[in-house]
Amino acid sequence: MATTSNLDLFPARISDRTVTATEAPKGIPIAGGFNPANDTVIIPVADTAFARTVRLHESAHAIWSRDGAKPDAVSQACEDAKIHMKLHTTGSTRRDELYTAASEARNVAKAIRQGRKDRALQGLALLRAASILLKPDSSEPGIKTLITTTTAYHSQGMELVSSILAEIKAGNMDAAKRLTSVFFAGKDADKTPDPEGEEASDSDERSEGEPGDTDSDEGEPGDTDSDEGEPGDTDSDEGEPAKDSDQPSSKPEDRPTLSAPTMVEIPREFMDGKPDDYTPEPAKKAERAKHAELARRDPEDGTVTVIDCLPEDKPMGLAIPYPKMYVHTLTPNATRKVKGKGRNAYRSTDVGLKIRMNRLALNAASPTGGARIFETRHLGGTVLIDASGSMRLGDRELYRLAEKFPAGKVAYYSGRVDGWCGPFSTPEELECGWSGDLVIYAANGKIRKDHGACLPKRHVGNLVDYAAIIWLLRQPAPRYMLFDKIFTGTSALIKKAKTLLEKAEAQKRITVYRHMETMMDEVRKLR
Amino acid sequence: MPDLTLTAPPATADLFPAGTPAPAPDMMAALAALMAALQPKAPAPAAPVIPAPPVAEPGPEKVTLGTISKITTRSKWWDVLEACLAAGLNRILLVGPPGTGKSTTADTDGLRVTCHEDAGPESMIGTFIQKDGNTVWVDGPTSIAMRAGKRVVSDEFDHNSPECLSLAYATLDDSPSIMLPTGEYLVAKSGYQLIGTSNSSPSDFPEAILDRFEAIIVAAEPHPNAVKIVKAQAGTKADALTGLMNNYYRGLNTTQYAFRGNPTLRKCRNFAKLLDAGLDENVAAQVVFGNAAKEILSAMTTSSAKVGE
Repeated sequence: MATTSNLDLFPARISDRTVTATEAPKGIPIAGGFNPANDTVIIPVADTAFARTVRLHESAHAIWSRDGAKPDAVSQACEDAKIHMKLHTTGSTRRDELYTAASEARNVAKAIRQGRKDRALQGLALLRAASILLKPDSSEPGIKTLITTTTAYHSQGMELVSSILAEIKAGNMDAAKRLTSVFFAGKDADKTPDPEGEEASDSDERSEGEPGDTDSDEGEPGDTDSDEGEPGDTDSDEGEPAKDSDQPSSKPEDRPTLSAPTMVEIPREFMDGKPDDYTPEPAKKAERAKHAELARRDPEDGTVTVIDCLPEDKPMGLAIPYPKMYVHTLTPNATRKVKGKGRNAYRSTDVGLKIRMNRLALNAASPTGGARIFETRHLGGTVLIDASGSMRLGDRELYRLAEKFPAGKVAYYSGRVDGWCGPFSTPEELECGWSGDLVIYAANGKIRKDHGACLPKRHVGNLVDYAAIIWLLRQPAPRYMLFDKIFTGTSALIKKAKTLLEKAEAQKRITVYRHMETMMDEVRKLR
Repeated sequence: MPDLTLTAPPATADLFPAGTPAPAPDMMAALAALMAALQPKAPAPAAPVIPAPPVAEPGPEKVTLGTISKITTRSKWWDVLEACLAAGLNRILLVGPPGTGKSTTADTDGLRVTCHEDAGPESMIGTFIQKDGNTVWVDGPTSIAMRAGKRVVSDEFDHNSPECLSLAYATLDDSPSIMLPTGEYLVAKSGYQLIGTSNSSPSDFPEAILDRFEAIIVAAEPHPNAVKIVKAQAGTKADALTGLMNNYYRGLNTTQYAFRGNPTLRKCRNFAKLLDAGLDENVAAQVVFGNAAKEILSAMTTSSAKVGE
């Protein structure tokens, strides 16, 4: 039976226009976004409370935020708060909304505790959470988190937030923006600055949706939308002025007054199963990185280096991280020597000689007078092999090739997406959604020990062609590449990899062979 | 010393070996009484054992339109089934693991069809037979149910043959009607209900069939009436056995019975019907839209919103 996915259902949320929805790509730091210019949204498609709320949020933007994108965080925050105040959610939808708001407040608390600098983003999330939580049917733990976090964020946080929401409700968006600027700036309300000059989105603060922002997994939807909400616009008839607000719980006098705590109290009611052990973040990060590297390494690996490519894809202005390629080198105790068979065994150097005892006397007694002992040259350089599924290479083929390049370097690479060949282990992989491995199979006359039928760190895809070519160009010449020239990855990445390889081929810096047998034939000729 | 005749009971005689002075008669009587008291009591004659009648446990309370609002997402499937029937839904699919009492619960009128791949339409609507030298038409369970306005249970609905499945489009329609081979055009009477049961995922059904079922209920735990029978027969092991059984069903993975209903005309009408009857919106959405329930409810928040509002 064909069933409708959450992606297909999204247009049904909007009554008077057709909005095209696409799934939010993996690895981007935002959960969703709406582009009023072409009526497109990116949304998460999961069946979770958070994802449903993001879809609700974006659909509300698609209905009420059609006046174009606003560049600053203040306008964005006011717009977000406005649409959530307009939404009248009930039942499970309201529970989803409450859960998400409480999670957001909790994550802002965490960011404050960690001393993060993205203040505008934190303020935006807090204001949005307040617009959801400060309603009569809110849950007590969520409100408590909001109060504690908002007070930690700004000494007059709750008063300001209440005032902002009241102004939005009354339709006074200018006043709301002025107060929001004060809230974001962290200054006292009585020092209200020039409304035009105190935007919170200072140059050192990132706007919503930029890479590496606060708790990207919790999803601050980086909308590219939001109208100004000028007084007298379509929403100005919404509700009463601030003093007649129907949000009694939002009045500051109804709330316990709390001094700014050094450690923000985090209720655990909305924790999603992850214990918060309060380890300082740098130490936690270092520990994660260490575990990630250990998980990534094989016993054969000496060191694991990472070749990264800078992101250039920006769909809807969002940077998609390129996959990282992990380079696995050899350790001496995990290798064996490359040898030929029987008496034809040769030493693993690119230049050398072999004295055969049975011919020593003959060589020494040369009629020309000199010893007829010559150095022989073996192939060196570097061979890079595309080990993706399309190449159909086995361990034996690789060994045959390694024999031909005894003193050179033989490496293979392949890429994978999360879920292929097991789940990802490192935070980088999880963030990016794809990665690759380049394994040095043989080097300096040594080769990896037998692995049976399965080569280590070999996956089915390419994905890291670009990084692999970069690696090859950094290796000693001559450079050979066994590659069927079937690139995979994002279009931009493929284009870059193709261009680089064509250029390297034209400059004779890399020789590409499409088939193993062709390569072996050429190698024989070279010898 | 008076001449005494020992009248002590034989059981006490060996207490006094030869040469021992015999005790006085009153002492003997007291001693005999004492010995008798010390003797192990003989078992009383066995009375005929009459097993106590099993204590009748109250069954699940019947859900009516008056109590339909009490049904929540935590309610049991049999209550949800009753609620759907009380709300006026007539075509319901019960899915779940084998042996939870789906068919037994649904079968109130004794009309059942077991679907299988080789079954022809005659297993549902009836066939011509030879009787007393004449060829006569005999209604099948579905025809009987349609004619009399009763409930027919279609077991193993997923095993329907293509011919029967084609017929099911008609029997599951909003106004069920079929043309019998006799030439009779049979329109279902009011009260006709079709309840299908299946052990496989509803997602395997054709979309049009799934759309025609007004509610799809996952029956993943045994009906209490069936449990009562097990309890009555298990004697002292009743608690252990029923506990084991309940634990087994609780541990079963029911995600295979998940389905996602689209907001089609029929589904929306059925949802509205359930809401109108007073059923909780989460329950109603669950039985109509399945796993898409929360998404549908969330989408409804903005689906009618206008820019100017």
